[in-house]
Amino acid sequence: MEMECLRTQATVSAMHDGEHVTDENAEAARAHIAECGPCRSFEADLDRLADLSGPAAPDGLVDRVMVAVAAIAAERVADEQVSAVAEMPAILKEEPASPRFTWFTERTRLGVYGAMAVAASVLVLVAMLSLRGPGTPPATESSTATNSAGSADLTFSGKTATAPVTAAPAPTPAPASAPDYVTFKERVYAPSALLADSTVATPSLGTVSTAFASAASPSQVPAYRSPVADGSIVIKGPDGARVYVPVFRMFNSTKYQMVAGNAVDRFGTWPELPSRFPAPSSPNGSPTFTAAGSDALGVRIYTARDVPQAQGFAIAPGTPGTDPAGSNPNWTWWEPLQMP
Amino acid sequence: MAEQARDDAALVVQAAAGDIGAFEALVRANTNAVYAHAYRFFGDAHAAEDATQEVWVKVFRSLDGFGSRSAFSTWLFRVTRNVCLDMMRSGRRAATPIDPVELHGIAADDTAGEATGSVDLETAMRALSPEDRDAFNAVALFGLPYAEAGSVLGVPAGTVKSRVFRARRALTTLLSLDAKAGA
Repeated sequence: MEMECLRTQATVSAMHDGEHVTDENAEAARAHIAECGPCRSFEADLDRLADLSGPAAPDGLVDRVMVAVAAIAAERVADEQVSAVAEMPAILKEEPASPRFTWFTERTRLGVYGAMAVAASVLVLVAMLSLRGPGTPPATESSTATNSAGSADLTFSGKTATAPVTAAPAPTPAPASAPDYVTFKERVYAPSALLADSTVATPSLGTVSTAFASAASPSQVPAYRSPVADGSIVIKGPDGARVYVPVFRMFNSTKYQMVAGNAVDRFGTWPELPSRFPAPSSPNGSPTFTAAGSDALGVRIYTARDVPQAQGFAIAPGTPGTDPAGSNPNWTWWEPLQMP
Repeated sequence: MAEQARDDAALVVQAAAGDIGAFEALVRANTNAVYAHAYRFFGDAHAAEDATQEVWVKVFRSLDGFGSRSAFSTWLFRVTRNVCLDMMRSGRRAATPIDPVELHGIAADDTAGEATGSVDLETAMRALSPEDRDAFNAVALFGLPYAEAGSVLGVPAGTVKSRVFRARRALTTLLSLDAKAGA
């Protein structure tokens, strides 16, 4: 191979990686490629090489990782709060759960651990103070948290598991019905851990309209601030008080929560666009939305006229099941996550 | 790549503050890169899964000390590479040797689809020297600039440039050679 070819191909390779190349070298490479078939072929091969997928992590690996991580986090919290939460592991009831749901419950359990640790610390402090003065020591409230295996198979965090070199996976067929979503102030939440009613001593936020899984008419159900400060809420349902976590995705380093315009007042209802956005008549989002690039992992973002991207964006139907939008057959709308 | 780096940086801050949902988002965004590097290192799916899990456990345990001294992707590549090396040194896992016969039958112009191309790519990948493969993975999988990759690999950026170029030439040559053979 000619030295000039080697030099040109090395330059093309570096440019391909976004490395700085002087204008002089870049121009020399372009001029050589225009005259050299093998170097043109090499340049095309680089594009083809970049399009090839690397080996993708098998299904379930992320869930297994997160279960392991959650166990470590729980140990860490327990170690830090050993005196305050010494009895807590004994009052957590283990039930079988799918790996993904195990992660849901593990995640919430950590928050419950923390919240209960703080509550226990306060009780201990109050008890100590009361011993120093008049009055009756406060009765210790028995707090209980239980896990519950649910049917929901959701992705409430931000992203699909896609490596930079991997093409977006093919859309999966939409399931018959949506997960067990509820909406509070139009924002979509998914079920997580079941708590004992005694732990719901947090301020009431209002009500949620839902029939849960029943065929009865929806009713107004109390919603409470969650002991987990991650934007989740607690709803009292037929099986007790359950934590519901925001359904969110990451974009530009910000969490965006799904917002529904329809009444998601029964499990299995897919969220739809807010009524101010007519459903697009075209797969490209028009006339309601305009494609505005993609998120970090290749899911296309659509913006609405007169709405700055930072204030919200739409996602087209047909995302894979691993996407936070799930396999929703409708367009979905996302706005910055807010604490309820 | 830059956008993902910004997302990762924000998620690292949130995860270090105790937001495990943010950590999960980090895992989902980067697990394929970790797995792919480990798979190419060991040539074995089970070993790659073990390594991937170990990498994330180490990252989680070390989040407090990370402190954004470098880009998250640089740190993640460093941890991934070290975990793979440690697993092999400790004898827990060994790299599967490449059979030269496997290098035949690679079809560069295979029109059967990306999946077929992927298998071919991985076969060709195993023919690279470990040094060239590491450099290529750092850049192509983790999106590291040459200087950052060099800091992890302990070589100058110019050496990374040479190794990546050599890896690409080898890969494109391997793929093209068999296309010609099959023509």
